[in-house]
Order: sequence, then C-alpha cells, then structure tokens
Amino acid sequence: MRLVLRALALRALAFLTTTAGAVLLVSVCFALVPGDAIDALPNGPELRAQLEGEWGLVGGPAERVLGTFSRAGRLDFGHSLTVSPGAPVAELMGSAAARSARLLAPAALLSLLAGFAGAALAGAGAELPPSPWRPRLVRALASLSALPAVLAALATVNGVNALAWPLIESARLTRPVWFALPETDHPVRSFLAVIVLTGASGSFLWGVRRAGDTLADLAARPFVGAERARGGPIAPLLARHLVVPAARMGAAHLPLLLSALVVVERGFGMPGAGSLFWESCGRRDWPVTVGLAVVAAVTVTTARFVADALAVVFDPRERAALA
Amino acid sequence: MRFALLLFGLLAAGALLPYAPQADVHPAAADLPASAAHLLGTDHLGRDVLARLLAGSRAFLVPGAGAALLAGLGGVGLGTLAGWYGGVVEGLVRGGLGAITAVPPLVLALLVMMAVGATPTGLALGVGLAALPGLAEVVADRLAELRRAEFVVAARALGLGDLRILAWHLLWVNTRTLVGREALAIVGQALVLEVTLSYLGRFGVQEPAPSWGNMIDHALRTGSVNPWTWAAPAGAVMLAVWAANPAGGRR
Amino acid sequence: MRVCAGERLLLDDFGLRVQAGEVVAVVGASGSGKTLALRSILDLLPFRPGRIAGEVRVNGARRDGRSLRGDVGLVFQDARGSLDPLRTVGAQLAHAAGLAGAESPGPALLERLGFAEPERAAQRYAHELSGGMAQRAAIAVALARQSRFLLCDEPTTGLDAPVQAALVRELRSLREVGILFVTHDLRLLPGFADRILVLAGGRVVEEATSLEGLRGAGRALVEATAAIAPPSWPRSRA
Repeated sequence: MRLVLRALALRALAFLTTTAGAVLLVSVCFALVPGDAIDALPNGPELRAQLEGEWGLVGGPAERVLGTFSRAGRLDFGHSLTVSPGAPVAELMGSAAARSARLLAPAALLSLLAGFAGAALAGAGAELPPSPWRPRLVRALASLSALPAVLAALATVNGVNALAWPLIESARLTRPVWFALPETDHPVRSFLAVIVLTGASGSFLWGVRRAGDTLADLAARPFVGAERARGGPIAPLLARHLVVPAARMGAAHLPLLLSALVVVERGFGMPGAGSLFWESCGRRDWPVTVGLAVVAAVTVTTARFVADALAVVFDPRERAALA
Repeated sequence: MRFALLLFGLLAAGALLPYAPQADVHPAAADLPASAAHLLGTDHLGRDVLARLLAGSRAFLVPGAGAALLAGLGGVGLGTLAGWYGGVVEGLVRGGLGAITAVPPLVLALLVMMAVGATPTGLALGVGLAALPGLAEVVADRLAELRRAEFVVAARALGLGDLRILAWHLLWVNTRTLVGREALAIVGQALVLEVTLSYLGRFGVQEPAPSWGNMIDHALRTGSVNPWTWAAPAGAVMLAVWAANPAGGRR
Repeated sequence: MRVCAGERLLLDDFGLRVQAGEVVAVVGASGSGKTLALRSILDLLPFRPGRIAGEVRVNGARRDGRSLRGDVGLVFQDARGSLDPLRTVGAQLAHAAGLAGAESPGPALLERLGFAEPERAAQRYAHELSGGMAQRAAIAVALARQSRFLLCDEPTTGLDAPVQAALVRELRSLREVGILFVTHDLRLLPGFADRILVLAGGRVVEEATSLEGLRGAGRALVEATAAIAPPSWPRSRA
C-alpha cells in the first residue's frame, strides 16, 4: 500500500510540474504578443489604464508571465474583452466546454474502440491463421483517415450541402431546421461532427497502428501462450492487460482531438470551446484565449495523470520503478 | 519517402518559377475549364489554376522546411541528451517535452503565430515548436535502445570515445532515417496547418498571394464552375499529406 | 506424429509413451525439433501454416490437441515470462485451479515445491521472483490446474547449478504426474529420467533407459557432454 501511495505521489508531482510548464509556455507566448484588444474597443483609450491592469497587459514579458501564472493559479481567468465583453471567462469556458464535451467524449471513446477493433480485425492477437486481406483492408481504411481534419470537415459539410440542396429544391426534402443555424443542436450534425472528429483528427489512424502494435506485442508474450496452453480464456486476459495501454493512448490522443475540435466546430458551425478559441484568437480576446489554452493543457495533463494512476494501481511493476 | 521527396522537389522547382498574382487577373477569362492554354483551367478571377498551384506550394514548403529545421535541431539535441544520459537528465527533458505536448498542437501554433505574427516565420516557429517533442522523443527512444546495445560496449572496449560513438554510429548511421522521416512528416504538418488557418480564416496566407489553403477557401466561397479550382488544391493537399506520412504516422 | 510447416517436414514419426509418475527425457541437439514436439502435442504451433498429423491418446482414448490443454501442462523455459505480470502467484494458482473446477491449493502447494515462506511467496508478483522461484511457481500453477502430465521445455536453462539440481529433485518427487522433460543438458538425467529418447533431424532415433544404454547418436551426445561433466560420467574406453 505504501508503495502505491509513494508511486502515486511521484506521478502527482510529475503532473503538477508538467502542468506548470505548459502554463508557463502559454503565458510566455501571451507575454510576447504585440498590441492588444484595448485598441479595438470604442472607449479603449479612456479605459486603458484600468483594463491593462485587469487583463495583465502591463509590464514587460517577465511581469506578464508571472501575472498570468499567478492568476491561473488562483483560477482567476478574468473577463472577456471582445467576444462577450464583461462576461467572466470562467463562465464562458464552462458552458463552451460542456457543449464540446458532447462531441469530445464520444469521439475519444470511439477512436479508442475503433483503434482496438481495427487491430483485432486485422488479426493481431488471434490464434486463427491470418488472412492476408484483413490487415491490408485495415491499413487502407487507416490511410484514408490520414485525411486532415480540415479537409474532412470541408468535404463533409460541402458534400452534405451539395447532396441536400437538389433534394430541397425539388421539394423532396424539407429544409431541416439545423441546416444553417448554429445554435440549434441536432443529432445528425453532432453525429457527423463526431465521426469527422474521430476519423480525421489523426487519432484513429494513430490508434489503429498503436493498438495493433500493442495487441500483437501482448499476444506474443509467453504468459498469453501459457494461458492458452492451460486452456484458459484469452480475451479476459488481454482485456485486463489492455486497460493501462488504452488509458495511455486516450491521454495521448487528447491533444489531437482538441486540435481537431477547433476545426470541426468551426466547420460545422457548432458552438463550443473550439469555436470560442478561434473567435477569441481572431478578436484578440486575451483572457479567453489564454484561459482556454490553459484549460486545454490542464485537461491533457490530467488525462495523463489518470492514466499514470491507473498504471500504478493495476501494474505492480510501476510501483517498483522509482521514476 | 522517395516519392515524397520527388514530389516536394518538383513543387519547389515549380514554386521558383516567377509568378505575379496581380498580373494574372483576367476577368474576361474567368472560370474556364481545363484546356491546352490553362491545364487546370482558371478560377473566378481568371487566374491560371496550375500556376497558382505551383506558386502556392511555396506557402507551405518554405515554412515547412523551417519548421523541420527547428524541430530537427532542437529535437535531435534534446533527444540526444535524454536518450544518451538517461536518469535525471532524461526525466527532466521528457518532462519539459511533456509540457509542450500538453498544449494541443493547433492551439500552440496559433499562440506562437499571435506572438510572432501571421507570417511564414510564425508558421515555421509554430509548427516547429509543436513538432519538436515528437522528434525528440523518437530520437531519445532510439538512443535509449541503442546505448545498451552490445556494439556500443564493443566500440568502447576498442577505445572509441563516447562522443564519436554517439555522433557517428548512433546518430548518423542508426538514427538519420528515422529523423528524416519525421522531418518529412513535419513538412506535411506545416501544410495541414496552413490549410487549416486559411480555412478558419485570418491567419493564413492572404490574397492575392496563392496558397493551397486559400485557393480552396476562395474556390468554395466564390463557387466557381470549374471544379479544378478546389479539386486541384484539395487533391494536391491530400497527395502531399499522404506522401509526407508514408507509414501513416501521426500529425 | 508428423509436423509440417508449409512444404517442409519438421517432425517425422515422433512417437512415445508416458505414464503417470514416469519421467521421460527427450534429448537432442539444437534444432532437432524438441520444442516443436512439445508444442505440437497441444496444437500450439508458433507458425502458420502448419499441419500436424498424428494422434495423442490418454488412457487409450484419442484426444484432440486443444482438448488436452490443461490436462497436459506446459512448463516454459522463460518461467518469469510465462507468469502473468499483473497478478500475484497466489491469484494465479487460484485462477488455474478454477479452470480445472477445483479449489485453490493455496500456499501448501508452494511449500511442497520448496518455497521457504509459502505465504509470502503467494503474495509476490512475477517480477519479484528469482529464476528458480519463478520456475517453481510456474510448475505450481500447472499442478494447480490439475495437469496429469507436464511437458517441460528446457525449464532449467539459465538457472544456477544448485537451483537446477533442486528443481530436478522436486520434479522427480511429483509422483502423481507423468513428465516429459526436454533438455539439451544430459548432466541432469542420472537419477532423474526413467527413459531417454534421442531426437535428431525431427525423428526419434533412439530410446534407452539409461545413459549407458545409449548408442549411436545418443552416444555421441554423451561423449560430447563428457568434456563438461564430472569424473563419474560414462566415458568410452579410449
């Protein structure tokens, strides 16, 4: 038990330092930004002094970095400048994140499952004689998903539009409510967005390869052969050994998914953290931009910590190692 | 990998051809289909699609090369430190790299571009920084694997200095292909980012200078009759991305 | 039994008989097909396509390779690798016993196999065990599975001499199982093997009840071993 706690503490320490490092990186970028959004506001010059202080735009780079750091530490993300002037950033981020979560969570799960399913389909880990076409098929599918998110989103949206428009014109289809209105949620659009997010963020492709390697490597281990020789069930054994690798893969996919989220949300016209980030970049709304970047980084490091914690709990070898 | 090099070489050669975007505007010749004079037709402003395609490759090849250089130098340096020395040094380096990868690549690239400017330099810096940890990790893993290898022990026993073993045997002989592949993938990433920025708007290459991203964006927004206006750049992007990631690697 | 990989015949005319309480040693140079023979009995070929022709009978009844798994246990050369790294030894004993529909034999079985502190050993994980301990644990797991026969594939390779000797002694003491012991080290056999089979080029070329009884290919192996064996080793009168 003490070993577990010590190992967890070490991982927690790593989590804190990595998170701090990421926040540092974000704040350094922010500190180097020339100009600010105050100029864009109609009464900017009058409020400059007050706003500069509030938004941390005073002082040289070093002071700005420290300022961002301390504010992030206090979870004080300030107020939005231009996107939704005056609104507390934390609130904006909260509602945006909630909306994005509805896309992210299914996409993350799907990419993991699809990764392992694809690998299993390609014959990794099975005792059956491998047929040559199965891995080829999976590889072909996987290389299709090398399509960048931007093109996939473009293709899907324009493709759907192109398909639907003639049908609408010939009155065979009534124009759906969600067709152009961003605020309305619709399952079809969400479904398409999740598919594009999963398939084109690179996580699916990467997932299939990694899952395939992991599965094949696992199946080749002597203890799997030993269990087979004992006449025991292989599937539960493999599943138990895949929990930690799957969690690690999930944490590794998260940055890719978050990147693709920006593209997908904007491409599909859906509100959420991705669109908010893009908007705040365009309008130079620093509090929102920095806030979202920090939250994104913290999400990733938290996912990594969760995967590390699972490893410590499930794998006794993780407790033995010191680092 | 050879195909990719060939492709990019051709594009680079094409990009060196002089192309003046403003001079190319011929409103009378708008939306022409493919013909002998214009191999891929013209767009809504009468500009030759093929010429823009070739010239537009500059928009990602140059920043891509810069990003690959940045990530390559930094990545090999840090990766060597981590992979060769191991222990605390490795822990520190990997932790630092972990901090960079914690920020999603698009977010990081955008932040960098806002700080440095929405210029090719900014793009190169952004992509380079985002790709650096990946390359460093690849090098570190390879070196960690190799430094325990028997031939290293044998080389030491023969009296070869550590630096020589490292620089020649380990880095050059054993790792350069790996680094080369990653560097190529980085050029692909630069392309994808450029297209993404043009698609999202505002941070990409601005008109009238061509880039594959803004060609697609322009074509879709102006709704040209000639399908090559968007199909050519889109197809080129897919081909280039597929070529730059031969093993179907990550982005 | 014959085993083919594609067009190549790897094992031909391999036949033997083992009884409960008997130790039959299979010896031969590397590449003679010893490991292959063991794996084929349980239909566990490491390559494809492979064909196994032949039959295995237990108590006169024909049994299929797959159905034999469990009743016939396999003891691997890499003992630590053959144990599940995520589970304690005790948990694996319980799991194996469960596969046979029996109760876990508990630490008592470990004690029988020579573990000094069986309760503590049952709490250990595979990576915490030494080579010899891991091998004993692996054998315990096979016994917990109620295997009536143990196919041992060079289980002593890589272990210290005293550990090898102890392991061989413990195997000998297992009177309730029949043991097929594949090895390339003939020094283990005196006092251990009831019968010795010599395998060469995928065929059984000789069978004897002692080292002295070996002629031909078996004799050659004995002579070769003389260089590293103790003075009491049977040597030819030069």
